[in-house]
Amino acid sequence: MEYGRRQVGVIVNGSLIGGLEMKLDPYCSVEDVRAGTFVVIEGEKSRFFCMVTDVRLDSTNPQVLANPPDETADLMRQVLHGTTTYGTVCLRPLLMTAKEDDIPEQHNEPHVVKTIPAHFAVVREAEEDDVSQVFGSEAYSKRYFHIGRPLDMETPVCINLERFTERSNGIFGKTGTGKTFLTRLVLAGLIQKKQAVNLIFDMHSEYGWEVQKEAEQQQQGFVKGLKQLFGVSVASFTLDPDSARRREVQSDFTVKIPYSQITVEDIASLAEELNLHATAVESAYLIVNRYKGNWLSTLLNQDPAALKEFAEEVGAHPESISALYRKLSRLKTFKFLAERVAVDAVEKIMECINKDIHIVLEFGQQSGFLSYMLVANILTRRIHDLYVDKTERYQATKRPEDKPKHLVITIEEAHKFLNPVAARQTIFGTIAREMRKYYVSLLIIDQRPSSIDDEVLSQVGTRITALLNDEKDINAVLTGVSNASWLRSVLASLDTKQQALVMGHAVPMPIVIRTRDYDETFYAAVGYTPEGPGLKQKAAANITDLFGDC
Amino acid sequence: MDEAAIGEVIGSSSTELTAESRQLHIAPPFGSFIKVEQRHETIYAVVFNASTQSLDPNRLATAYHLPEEELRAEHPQIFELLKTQFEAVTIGYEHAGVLRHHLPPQPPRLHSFVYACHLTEIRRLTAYMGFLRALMRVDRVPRDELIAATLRNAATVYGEDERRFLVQAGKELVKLVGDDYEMLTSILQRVQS
Amino acid sequence: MLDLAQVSQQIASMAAAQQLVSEDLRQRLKTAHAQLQLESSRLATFLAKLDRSRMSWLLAEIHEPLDCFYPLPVRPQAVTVVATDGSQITPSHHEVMPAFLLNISTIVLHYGTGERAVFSSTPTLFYREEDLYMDYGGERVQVVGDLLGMRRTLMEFQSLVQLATAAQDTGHSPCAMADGSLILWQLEGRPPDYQQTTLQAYLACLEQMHKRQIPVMGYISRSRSRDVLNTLRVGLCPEATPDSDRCPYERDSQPPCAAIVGLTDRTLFEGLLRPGERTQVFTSASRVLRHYEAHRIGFCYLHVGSEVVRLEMPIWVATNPGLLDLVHAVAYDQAQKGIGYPVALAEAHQHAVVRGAERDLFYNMVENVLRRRGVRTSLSPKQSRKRIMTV
Repeated sequence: MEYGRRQVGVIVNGSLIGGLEMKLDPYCSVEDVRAGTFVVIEGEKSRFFCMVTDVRLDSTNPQVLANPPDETADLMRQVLHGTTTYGTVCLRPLLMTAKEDDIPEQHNEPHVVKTIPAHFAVVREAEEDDVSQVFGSEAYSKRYFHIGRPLDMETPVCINLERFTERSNGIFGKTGTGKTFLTRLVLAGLIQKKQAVNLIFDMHSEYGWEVQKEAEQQQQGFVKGLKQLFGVSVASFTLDPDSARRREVQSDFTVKIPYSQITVEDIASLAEELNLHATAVESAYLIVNRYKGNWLSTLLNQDPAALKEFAEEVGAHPESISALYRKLSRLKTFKFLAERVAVDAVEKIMECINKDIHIVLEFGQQSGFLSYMLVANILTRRIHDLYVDKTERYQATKRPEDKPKHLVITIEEAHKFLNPVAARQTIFGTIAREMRKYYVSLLIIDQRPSSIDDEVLSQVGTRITALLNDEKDINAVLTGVSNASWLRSVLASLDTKQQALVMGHAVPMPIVIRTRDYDETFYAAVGYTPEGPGLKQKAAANITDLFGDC
Repeated sequence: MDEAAIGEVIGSSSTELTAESRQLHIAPPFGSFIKVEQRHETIYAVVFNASTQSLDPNRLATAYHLPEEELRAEHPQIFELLKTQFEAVTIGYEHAGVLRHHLPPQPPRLHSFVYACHLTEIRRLTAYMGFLRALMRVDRVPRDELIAATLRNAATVYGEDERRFLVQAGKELVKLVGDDYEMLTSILQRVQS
Repeated sequence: MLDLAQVSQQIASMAAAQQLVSEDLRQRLKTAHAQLQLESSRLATFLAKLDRSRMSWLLAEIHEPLDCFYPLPVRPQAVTVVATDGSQITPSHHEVMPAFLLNISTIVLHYGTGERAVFSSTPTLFYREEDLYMDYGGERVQVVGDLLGMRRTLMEFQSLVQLATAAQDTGHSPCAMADGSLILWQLEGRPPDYQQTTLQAYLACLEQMHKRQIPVMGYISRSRSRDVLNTLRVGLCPEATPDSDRCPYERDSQPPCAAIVGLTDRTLFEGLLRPGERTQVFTSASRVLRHYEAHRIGFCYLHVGSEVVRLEMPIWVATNPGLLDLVHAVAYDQAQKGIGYPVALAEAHQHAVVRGAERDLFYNMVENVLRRRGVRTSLSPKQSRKRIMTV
């Protein structure tokens, strides 16, 4: 839209709670007004930033409606349009700023609306300045990250990463709407702007290295992974070195987990996946009582014929032990589990975190839910424990060098960890609830937000949502958002690709965006240059320095 | 009389004027724009009525039942006993080069000459829709007919912008007719047909 | 105030009386028609008897049998009819000062060409000594009454001549119409000086027309002339040489010629002429015509449909078949167009007439101008009262 400060209407009605009504100017077509569009009301003292929530047809004369002009009365229609019959556009005022010219835009922070503009205040289409005033600009500060553009404008919309990392966040959307793509974009932002250290449980090996473009995109080809974009700032861990080798990607560290690190809680949280009865879990505790850390390897090393004696030994019901043994035997197939491990993965991870190196943990062939949840749980639990310790130490010493690095843990299929049952058992539920008290927060990726525990959802600070159809999912995403009803229509009307609603802590107001293109331009913007040999060697040297040859 | 003049003012008031046509049966069209040129100002008006009648109120016109050719050949006197008059409603005036869309301080002077407006003048007069309000005051002829005829006349000077002009005028009419949707429909139908 | 109730009774009795009269008239008409037939059949005898008779009445000079009528000739397609009329505001001793105004209208109607008609009226104010007074029988008298009427007639006639000659000059073929008689009978018995100056001016006009061969006619509607009827009275007289001075039936209550008294030429011919037809042109024996010489006036009767009218014309028109036919056709055509009365004359009258309101306006103007000039004016009490009615 290139007509400058175009007026679209004037305010004729409204309330702070119910929203405002604008009479559409006669020369604007109702069809040009779309729900979700960002508009600006020029009040006398304040400027109000609003979103279009509804469009309605009105008439001043019931006679016209009773006896509408026929199709041939073209002139009549044009005349009535905007006079006797007109469009009313409902607006939700979201933010306001003072209209004083002497305040530089950067400091004239938009704040929550506490009043409404007077009658006949002029409504105009939003412009670039308005968008940057509300959403900030990468030019102002490195805490702003360009995530996309408004529906009908070319101005970048930014999210405030500083605020983003203050809470746990969610990226939602049904399958095929570009969740992975959005996630990669947000992660790239976090890495580039150095707002937090990321630990990514990369279930489908989508983030570290290049992956094929989404099928809908016209050109065939690959998009670059984070490791490629950020080189030494990103470490690639893997559970499946064979897979990494097959894909000819370099893996910096192969994660092995000793049986001794698996707790009954880890098993319990997998009860569903393992089809475990509560009684079986109970009997596991009995084994722990007897064998402590070696409970799992002891169990798995039992002769199946001697299980009855083993049950007697630990004082458990033989049936339960037998079931437990049978179900947990599946773990023996996981190559990343070992009796003994040379280098502790958690230690390695902490080492990276301390050096501000982001970790992408690829699961390779081990991408079943069972292994994904098991590994994510074990690692996160231990990391969280360490963070709790570190935080407490920092609180005691108050020395800056003791301050823990802020960590964002990205998990996919989050409802598996955060459903109402699991949320009370897994470490993820704990992290989600305690917010960043211990400098750890989550980035939840999910397609079924309705399956996530309400309490967890209500703690999610920023929600980036692609299209959702299911009423339950829409409700879930809007949990804890005040006056959410108007967002419902916006959410349901998103395009299936490259559109998302951003709302919550990191943006001053909800806004629908066309997501930023993840392409060469983006690569360049985050500092990537087509790799030269020098750079490659340097990267290799750094990694070797860190991990040694492995 | 000036050759270009189409008539001469023989009656005037603050809101209206009556003029006698220079030629019998040749009055400016219904709803057309005319002007009265005076020494210091030009008064603009829209023709809303025209009539031809006997000069002498005591003598009535009667039917001769003859074709006009023959009537002119055999009864030449009757054409000298008839006059064509037209009435117009004042819509504005121009003084010292400034066009004003309201009534002039003084009515047109008797015996001033009346001229048809040029296209450029019609454009200036109709650029502001205030003239429609003046037409709404007329109650001696059907208002819908008068407004429709005036708009048709005015629209011709807008060329490609004709539609834009008519829509703009229509929107102004909506304000003027208020609830009278029938009136609006009637005017717009007459404008188009 | 008119008491209509009283009038209506009188109207009723009048109608009854009229019924008796018309019964009597029908009888007389029958007699007259019979006599007309009789005399027509013995024209020579009749003419000889007329010649011998010495009558005090005006007798028409007859040239053909009386029942010889002429049908309507075809009017030339292009003809221009000119006519004039006049009106006056007479000097009145009640009014502010002695002055009179003559308003002369001129009418030019071009037929058959589609050209525009020309109507105009020209007022002339007479106020100078020489205008207001004239020589009359060796005295200086004020121009009022008949004298003013004659002055007006002259001006009308002069305008008519001007119009006609102008029309001829522009290539039209004019025909002039005057309202009323061309015979200035009013001059009879007037002082010779007055008679002479008046006739001189009048005949000069006729002479101009004669020279240019422009037909001119006097159109008399509802004529009361008896010139032809009088000849029948001579015919009815049993005497061989009728002499009105020595009438043997003088003492009779019903002399023989009285059987057709009360009729006029108009009533006589009404039953005989068909619409469009005219009689022969008789010559008038009016005494004033002795001075007309070449312009002696003849007359005929023409049935215009609604009535029989008398047309007068100089003898040079009457004896020129072309001009006579033109006069005949134009007179009839004009009467048709004017629904009984010639259009040209009707228009001339309309344009000449000064209405009451205009008359008052005229006096107001005079008064205003004189007052502005400091000339003392006075209205007689009667005039003031007429203008402002109060209760």
